[in-house]
Amino acid sequence: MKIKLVILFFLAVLINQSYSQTLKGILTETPLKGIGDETNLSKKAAKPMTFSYVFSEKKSIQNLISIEKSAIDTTYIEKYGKKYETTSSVSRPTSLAYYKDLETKKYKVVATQEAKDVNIIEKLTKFDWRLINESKTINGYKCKKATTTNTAYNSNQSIVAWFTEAIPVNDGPAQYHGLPGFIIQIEINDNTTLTFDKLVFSKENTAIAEPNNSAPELSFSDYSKQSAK
Amino acid sequence: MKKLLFTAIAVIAFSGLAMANNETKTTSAIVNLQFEKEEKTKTNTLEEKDVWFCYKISESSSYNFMTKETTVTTTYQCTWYDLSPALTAE
Repeated sequence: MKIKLVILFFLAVLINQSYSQTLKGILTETPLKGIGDETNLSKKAAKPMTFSYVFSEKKSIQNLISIEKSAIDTTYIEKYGKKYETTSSVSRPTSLAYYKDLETKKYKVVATQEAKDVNIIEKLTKFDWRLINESKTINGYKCKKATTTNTAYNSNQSIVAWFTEAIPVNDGPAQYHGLPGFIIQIEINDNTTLTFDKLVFSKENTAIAEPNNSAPELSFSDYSKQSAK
Repeated sequence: MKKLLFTAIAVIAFSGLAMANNETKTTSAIVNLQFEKEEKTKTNTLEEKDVWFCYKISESSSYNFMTKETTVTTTYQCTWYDLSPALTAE
């Protein structure tokens, strides 16, 4: 009886170890086009942003690691003997983190932009994915195509996702998740692409803590109301 | 007497208007306007001898971390120049 229990214990440990794993990666976000008055982006506004990514125990966190700052540049042109001033400003977050708990369906975005802390807490959006019979290889991963429409956060975006079944994690960049494999690339309205450059599995679990800053937790609608004031 | 008074008022009023009109023609007018309004304003007010010089006064690109898109807002300023011979001769 004792031997059976010992074997059972070791079996349980073995099973647990085989399931505990961490997926780490580096994600690049590339702004391609702007929306609004002009689609052309300035050099500073088109600069790609880099994020670190960690997934473990059905939670994931994506942290901005590239150094970003808001900037104002002034240029002058001369015409008919007069000097004319043009100012170009770019507003970007200095810190940004996306946190997802796939079990409790919690989604958190914690950011600092223009010296203002923002802490948004929401329910994870459930995307209605449509699988498309197309495939391509991205950074060595054979990926399948899926599309959806994102209407969350006052948007109406056509989303194309490229996911790989080689990584059995139903997650992806930012709020995107819920495909039968890991989302390697997201294309947002042909305006932005989010691509995983490097992904590494390790066998141990990693504790992922919920990000926080000095701002109170607000829903997106409360945050929008507050920002509009 | 009344007639004279009305005539005097009318003369003063018209000369005032004429002066104001002259003033807007001899100085350059600067207006802030959104790009899409530029053409409309130009067509309504432009005369052959006039020149409108429009340039981008500001371009603001703001990144939205919730939607991951960048909104570009541009403002154009237009300056009106009167290139009538009387003014350009100097």
